[in-house]
Amino acid sequence: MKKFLIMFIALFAIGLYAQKVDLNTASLEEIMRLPISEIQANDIYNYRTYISFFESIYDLRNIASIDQITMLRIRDQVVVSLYREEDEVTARREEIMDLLERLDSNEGGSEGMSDVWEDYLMTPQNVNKMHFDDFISLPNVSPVDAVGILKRVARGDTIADMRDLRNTVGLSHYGYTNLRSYVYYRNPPVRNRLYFDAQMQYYTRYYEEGAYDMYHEPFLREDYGVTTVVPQDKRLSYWGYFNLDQIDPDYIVKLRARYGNHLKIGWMHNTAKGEDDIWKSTGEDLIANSKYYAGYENTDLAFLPRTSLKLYLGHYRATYGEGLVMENTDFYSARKTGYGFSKRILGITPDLSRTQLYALRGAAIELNNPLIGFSAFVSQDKKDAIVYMERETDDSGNPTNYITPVVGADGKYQVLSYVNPTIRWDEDELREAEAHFNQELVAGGAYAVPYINLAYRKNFVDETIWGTHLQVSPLIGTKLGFTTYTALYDNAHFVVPDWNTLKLDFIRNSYYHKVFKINDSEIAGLYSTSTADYVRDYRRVIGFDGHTVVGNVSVQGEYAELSVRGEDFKLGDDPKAYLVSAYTQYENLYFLALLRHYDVNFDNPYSNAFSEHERFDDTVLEKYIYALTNPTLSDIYQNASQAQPEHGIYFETRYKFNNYFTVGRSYLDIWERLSDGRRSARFQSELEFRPLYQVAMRLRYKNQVNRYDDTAERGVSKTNEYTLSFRTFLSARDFLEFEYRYNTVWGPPYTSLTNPAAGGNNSMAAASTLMQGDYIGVNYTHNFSPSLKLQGAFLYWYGHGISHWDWEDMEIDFMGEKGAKAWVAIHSRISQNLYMTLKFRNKTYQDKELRIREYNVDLPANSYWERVQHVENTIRLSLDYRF
Amino acid sequence: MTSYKSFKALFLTLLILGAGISLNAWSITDTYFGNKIGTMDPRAFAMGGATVYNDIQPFAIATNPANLTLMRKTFGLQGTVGINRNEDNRAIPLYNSFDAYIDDAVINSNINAFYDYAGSGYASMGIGKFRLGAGLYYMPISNFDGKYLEEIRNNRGTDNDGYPEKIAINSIENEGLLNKAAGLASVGFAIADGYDLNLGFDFGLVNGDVTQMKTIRWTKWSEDQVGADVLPDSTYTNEFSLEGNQIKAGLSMKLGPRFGLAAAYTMKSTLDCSGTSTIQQDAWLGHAAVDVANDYEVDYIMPSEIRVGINYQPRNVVRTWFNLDIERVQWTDISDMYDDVYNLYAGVEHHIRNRIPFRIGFQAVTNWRLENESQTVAGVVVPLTLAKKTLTPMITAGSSIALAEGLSLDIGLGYAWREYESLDLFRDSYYNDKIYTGSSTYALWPNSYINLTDRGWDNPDKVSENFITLMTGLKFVW
Repeated sequence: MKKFLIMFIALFAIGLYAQKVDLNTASLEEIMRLPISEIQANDIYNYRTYISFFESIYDLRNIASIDQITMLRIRDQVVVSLYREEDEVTARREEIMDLLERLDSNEGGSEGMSDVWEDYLMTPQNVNKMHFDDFISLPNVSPVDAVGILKRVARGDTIADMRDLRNTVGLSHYGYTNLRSYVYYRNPPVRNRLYFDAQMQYYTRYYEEGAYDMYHEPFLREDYGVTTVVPQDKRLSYWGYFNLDQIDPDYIVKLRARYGNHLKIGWMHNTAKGEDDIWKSTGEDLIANSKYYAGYENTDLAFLPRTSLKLYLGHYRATYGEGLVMENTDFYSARKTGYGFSKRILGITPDLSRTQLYALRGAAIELNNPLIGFSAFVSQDKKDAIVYMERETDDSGNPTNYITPVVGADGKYQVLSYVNPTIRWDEDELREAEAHFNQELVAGGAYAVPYINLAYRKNFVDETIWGTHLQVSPLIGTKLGFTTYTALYDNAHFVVPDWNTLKLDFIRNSYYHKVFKINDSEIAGLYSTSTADYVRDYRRVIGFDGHTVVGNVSVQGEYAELSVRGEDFKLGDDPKAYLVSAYTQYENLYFLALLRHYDVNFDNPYSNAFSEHERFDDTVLEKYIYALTNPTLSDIYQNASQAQPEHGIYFETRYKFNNYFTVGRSYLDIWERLSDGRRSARFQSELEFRPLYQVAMRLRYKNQVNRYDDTAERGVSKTNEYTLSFRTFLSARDFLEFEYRYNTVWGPPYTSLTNPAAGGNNSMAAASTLMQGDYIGVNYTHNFSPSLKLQGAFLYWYGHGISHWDWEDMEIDFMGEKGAKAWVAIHSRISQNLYMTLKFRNKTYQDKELRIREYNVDLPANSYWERVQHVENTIRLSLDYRF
Repeated sequence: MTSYKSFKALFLTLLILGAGISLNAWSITDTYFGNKIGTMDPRAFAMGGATVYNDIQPFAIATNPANLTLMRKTFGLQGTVGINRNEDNRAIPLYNSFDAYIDDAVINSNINAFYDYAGSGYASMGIGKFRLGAGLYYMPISNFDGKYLEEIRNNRGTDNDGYPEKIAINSIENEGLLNKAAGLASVGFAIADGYDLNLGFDFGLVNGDVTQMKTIRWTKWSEDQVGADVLPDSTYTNEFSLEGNQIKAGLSMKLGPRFGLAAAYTMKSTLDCSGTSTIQQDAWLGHAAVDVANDYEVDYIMPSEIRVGINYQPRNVVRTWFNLDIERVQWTDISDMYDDVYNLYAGVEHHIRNRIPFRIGFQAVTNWRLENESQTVAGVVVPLTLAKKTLTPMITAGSSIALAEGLSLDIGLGYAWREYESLDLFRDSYYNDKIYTGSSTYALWPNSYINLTDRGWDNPDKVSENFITLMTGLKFVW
């Protein structure tokens, strides 16, 4: 840390004050010579050392041990020279502190995009030299805003300062307020220097409900329950075998350094719950499980005017167009429009996000100028996959309980799909577990496949990717782009068999074959590199995108095809996806319309486009985990980042009537799920009334109808949700909110919904059901001082089968059944550069489970014990050092 | 007026100290290593236990002897009492082919409290650039107290909301402390203004007496069903003494007005452990009464520890201290069954207003414990000892009140919890009355299909414990 200390003392004052004690420079001994006690002298010295330099003599009264009389007594014997701590970086950080907090809060550090935006906040870009893509990659800056600025600059005008920026024709007030912190005008607010950011997070969390169910599902012999198995063996599930009950934290360590916006390096390691500690890793494992990069960026190349260059080695993200061809991320985000806060950062950016699956690791280059843009990237990495397995044989040729990957006739392994597992177990850990499970499955003997035939394997598929993006911009705000990538697989084929074979591969017990339904065609639609028609060793996606701005209307879109049986450059002969959106804005209003379509067979793992649901939602991977041949197949759904095959249209708006009334982000989405033709509609709107600046009331309404096209179908559901909140913005930036939510879900007759707790009563379908749930909560933020902030909430909910959600300080939490929750987060700013957050959450809820009263006796399947209490304590410690 | 306030605070302190004396008992989790006590300094406790660099509290000398001269005080004295409330909830995870796994329904819950106390003092003097000091402290380093009660009941009448009959009462009563009384010396050297180097050495005598007792008592109702002297009560007792010493060396460096760096190394200690293990069981069908006592003498190893920490005091709008310690415990000193572990301690203190501090902290401590289980291999019963690792996170907070010049009352509060699996404490086959009566039908269990089989690691208890600790102490420095 380098601080610039400027001392200004008027020359005449030197003589005048020569005999006086300067409180800002005196040693402790000199202060002790004043007519004060030793404690008071120490307090003065400590105040200067640990609190602040003195700005005036009267600051002495900030010290508890210095009373008015003491101050008056020494007033004539002391002097305060003018000290100004001029650390421009600190000053800049102070200026953007709120935005930094908001970025952290919105993203939760998951995708790493906030790192890029935080860097731009600290070291802004020159607004007079930015390109179209630079503008529209920033949060809440629209293409219309960008064109307004670019047209002005193109006219030869130079934006001189913030006030000048505000006067730009076409730039909305909303765009201006969001843009101003990311840009500079004449001189950057901070000079180029070395920046360093070290983050550590320690987090004891619980698995989400889906993962919890998945790991608990046991491997049991086919005739289990017919011949009694006592005592039951907890090691027949992943949960029991790997002792997942114990508290096991996530550790994330992230280090970044950069020189200005030019040279950048970074490293991140994430040890997720259930995985081996970092200090047990070998050097090779450490590299394989880390993310890292080194990069060079230059926004104004000397030899190519107005051209920017990015060059990255290591892990990077590549994002183009609407994310249909390439936007590599492992994180799904619903309704990602590319506008407002759900932005894409276009081009190449460094990647230190937590997970590894769709990470690109290699080299990437990007050259951009206002007329033309070019990107190229290569990546080589090993990817996690679901692999076809078969039983190993012993020396006599008899099958053992161990399993091994199936090798095809061409010597290559056969895999079903990529997978982003909840826990990245190593093969040697899984091998023994799977053998143990197989021992049980084999014992029954009646299954069609009495062993684990599909299993997760870490770093299994050798994948080499090359790709490119070309772009021309003939007019300001108008561009046409072409993107393609090819993923080469050296050691494995992606193989998806025909429907009936797939059903047998997925469902262990023939009794449950009926649960493999038409919407599972998403699974059948996974891409194969080896079929009866062709055999190849790659996956190729090609697409083009366009964007234009006319007046205050922006239209953009992308079309992509996955090369399967057609020709690479012929349109319409392969599985396709397209997305077109139009956006218009006025001073207090914006309106967005978005049309999207993703074919069922458009299996592009590197896409991350707009959708209502993630891929495989509602399939057997989500709904029937207990029927799967291996419950961890469900991870294909649990952590999917792709869009579900949909065809739909989406409208979104926000309108501020005046200072009192605002219609917040409101949207209507009407879409059809292409795997089974289910049609749905979702509407949400929010009205805010703010009679005073300090007080706001919000009313939010949400309605969703699934399968509105066929009300006789069992998939029909109608959801209504009403939320009323009362918010007060108190002094010192304190905040208090009360919120009440009421929701209902209507469903068709369904036995499990109407099953009473007593046994033996679930054999008949009841009438249609209406579930009701509600929720009441209070949120409070209190700032003790600029260094210490406390956030907390308490809420009580009643679910009755409905899942509630709650946005906490930087993460979302889902609550089912009935319970109460309290969380508190203390944000301590230890110094100008060091931040600590300590968050604790207690969640207590009741659930229905099988009764255990008659332990050691076979449990009847429909015998429930109500009010089983779950208590979850969660803690998160974050330390962040920014220099 | 000031003296009245001081008196009131002192009275409050004595009231809190006194309240703890009537309470005892702690966790029964580990009868071998007991429950490790990290620090007895309420300030450090409130800051997550991060105290390897500490120039404020006299009890900091117990964690790092070099802190003695780091404090640059002539004289220091501190006494502490800690009260701990432990809640132990046990559930039985079960399998079923339909709903898989049941794990949170508590079958037995025990809530107890215990107390610990400790004291420390030192004196030091400066000689030129050097400072020499010596100190003494007493503190418990491991607590074996534990109390557990469990009722065995059948399920008669529960379908009609009846209260089932009580068959037997199981109990565990453990008592004991591993105490440490240590003397230490430290030398400090002032390198420059705000920069100094301190080295310390600590030699402590460690000893303790522990009594552990586990009983099974059949109820009057059970006796009434099968007749007198049919069901055997059992008592298992283990009494042992530990004796030895522990050596620790420390380093503390003040690196200017803002930074401090410290490290402490505690050597591996081998204590002499001698004791008697007794099994007493009443006579039952064809079996004579058992009263067997076994004397034993074994080595009891406490692993070496190295702890490194930093202290940072920035210029901030409020007075701020930040401490972060990382500790490596060399469990492999004891056995290859264990892995070495790293513990994390972090805390911050802000003076919100008028020197009233607000302290928060966090610690994550990993302990190993031993579980015994036998397994039948080729018809032979083979005893097994398993090592199990348990993580205990804790969040802490605290403050202090200045009573007079140099005299203050510190308060620390901590909430910790842990979740782990444990073998059934009382094996189910013991309650099969057919063994004792010779009958082919149960007399105590209305459900004749019950198979009272012992549960091993295939179906262990799921334990959820939480601890609420209040630590308070008086500190005087001059």
